[in-house]
Amino acid sequence: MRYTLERIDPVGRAVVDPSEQSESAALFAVTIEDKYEFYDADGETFHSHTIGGEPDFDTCGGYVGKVIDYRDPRLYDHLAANGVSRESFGSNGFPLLATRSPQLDLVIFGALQLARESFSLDRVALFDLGCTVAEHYDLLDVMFRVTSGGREGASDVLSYHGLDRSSQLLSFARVLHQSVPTEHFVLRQQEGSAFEYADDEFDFSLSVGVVNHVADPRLALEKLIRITRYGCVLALWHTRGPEAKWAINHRGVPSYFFADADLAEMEELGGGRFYVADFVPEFQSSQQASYVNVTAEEIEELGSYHIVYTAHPSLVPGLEPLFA
Amino acid sequence: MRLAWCVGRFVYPRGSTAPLHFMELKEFAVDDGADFAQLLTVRSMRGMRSRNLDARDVEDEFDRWSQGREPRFVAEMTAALLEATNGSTVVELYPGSGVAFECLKFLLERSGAERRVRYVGFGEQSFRLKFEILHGDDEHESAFIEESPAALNTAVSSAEVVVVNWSEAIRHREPPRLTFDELLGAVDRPACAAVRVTEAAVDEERLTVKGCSVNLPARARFMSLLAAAPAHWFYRYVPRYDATFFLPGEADTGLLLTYSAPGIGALEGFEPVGG
Repeated sequence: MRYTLERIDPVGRAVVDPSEQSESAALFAVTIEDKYEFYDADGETFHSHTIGGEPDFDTCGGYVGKVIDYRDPRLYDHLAANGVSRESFGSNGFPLLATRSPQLDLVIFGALQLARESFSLDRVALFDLGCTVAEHYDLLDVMFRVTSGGREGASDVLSYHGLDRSSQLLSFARVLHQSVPTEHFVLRQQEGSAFEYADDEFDFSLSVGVVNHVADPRLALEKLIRITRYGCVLALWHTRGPEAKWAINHRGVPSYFFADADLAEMEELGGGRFYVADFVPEFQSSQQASYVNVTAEEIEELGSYHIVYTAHPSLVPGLEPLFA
Repeated sequence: MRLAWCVGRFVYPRGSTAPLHFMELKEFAVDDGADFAQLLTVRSMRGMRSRNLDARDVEDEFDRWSQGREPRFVAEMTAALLEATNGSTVVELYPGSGVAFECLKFLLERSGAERRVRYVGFGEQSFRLKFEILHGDDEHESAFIEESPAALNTAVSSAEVVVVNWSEAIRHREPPRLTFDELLGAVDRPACAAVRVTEAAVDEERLTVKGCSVNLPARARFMSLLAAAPAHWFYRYVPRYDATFFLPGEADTGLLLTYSAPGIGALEGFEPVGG
């Protein structure tokens, strides 16, 4: 039998329109299936193939893939030839570097290097909230090695603390970094708003979207600010609407979009300010359709900030404050 | 037949067949995610076992987890061949990211034989970096050769044991450059194979869910080849193994596992080709 295939987006075929749901409807017991689906001319399912099977397999592909790409000798060569900068991270030489996570790593690298210089830091304590397989560690390692001419890497510079709720991903982080001394590579399994550390225990912290989908996002962000001495580097999902918003993501997990009022309150509490490196509207993100019960109109109000919270503006030259 | 298709995460209200939401899964998630997760799961178990953390429990968990999985089948055959040949070098034709290699490491370490292998992967250029990075920092030596007819004989002649993983070869978005018969033709030493076959009377071109047209040897033809070969082969057939990976065709499919080496007997679940 010969087949001609046409790829489609099945949204609209038989998808329940969330705007038709009663506000009083108690959703959300959901069933999630990862699969290929093939439809005949009548729109009926002709064939289906379930994929995955391993917990977190979908995140594994991306994050472990990043570790592999960061360890590619050609990446080192690219940065060694072109320097570590917005230009080299935005060039065609290595398109991966222009994506969200490496862009944030570039921001934290810059702030971290300035802090080392300004405050004579010996070893920099970095807290990675929602660390998955600790792929940020690997790109930072490349940047340290390139800029030092190979004299130092992440294992020389960082005291890395990664926290994630997934024991599976943490075990993968461990096996992928077996050569890093464990006293400077600490992993902890915990829910992302339940961590407890002393004030200013870490020099820097990093969270790429994680504070948005923990049990208590405001508390998580507040804690992150409190435990960090010099700078919190964040991808933070946000709504332009007057009030913060909850949505359900593709894993069935509630996600919180911070409003300006939330962030203004954080500035009051912490004494620092938010500085903006970038803003990506949700309709331009690489993973659209991440939220279950959000209309197209609501999507227009959503986006993600690449943002730094710090009381030391000299560490983020060129970044404008979020609130004038 | 014209088909519309998609791949991703379907979210249904519990008990409903009308999807509430669909999110497309990216290629890296679909193509690599499961393999990376499998490989690193085995590596984690190796680590736990080596630290003697309830080693028996870890071994039991590995057995439970790997039961019925193709990488485990391949690893078991390979381990048996290494034992039979007292060899130390393996070449796997189309290893993917090397999940079977990782399973082999577990089995070798569990046996306590202190055997270290040199494992050469031969396959698509797109897997070179993944294979080298994932296996480079390990006690077992590894290397990767990019597929080409010219490199095939060199790769095979460098090893004491050859693994023909046609099942892995046809899982990707592009078909392998070499044909199944070319791979078989190059094997002149102890070898094992994992082959997706069709139960049709003749070889069949089948479309995978990734849109790749691949050749499935006819089970009957392959068995005849094995029966006619001078070496003694053993086989095991797993009918309808991962059958939905292929769009419907002329006949059912399955996974044929087979191996041959001087002095080797039948592993559990295997029987001699030809009876």
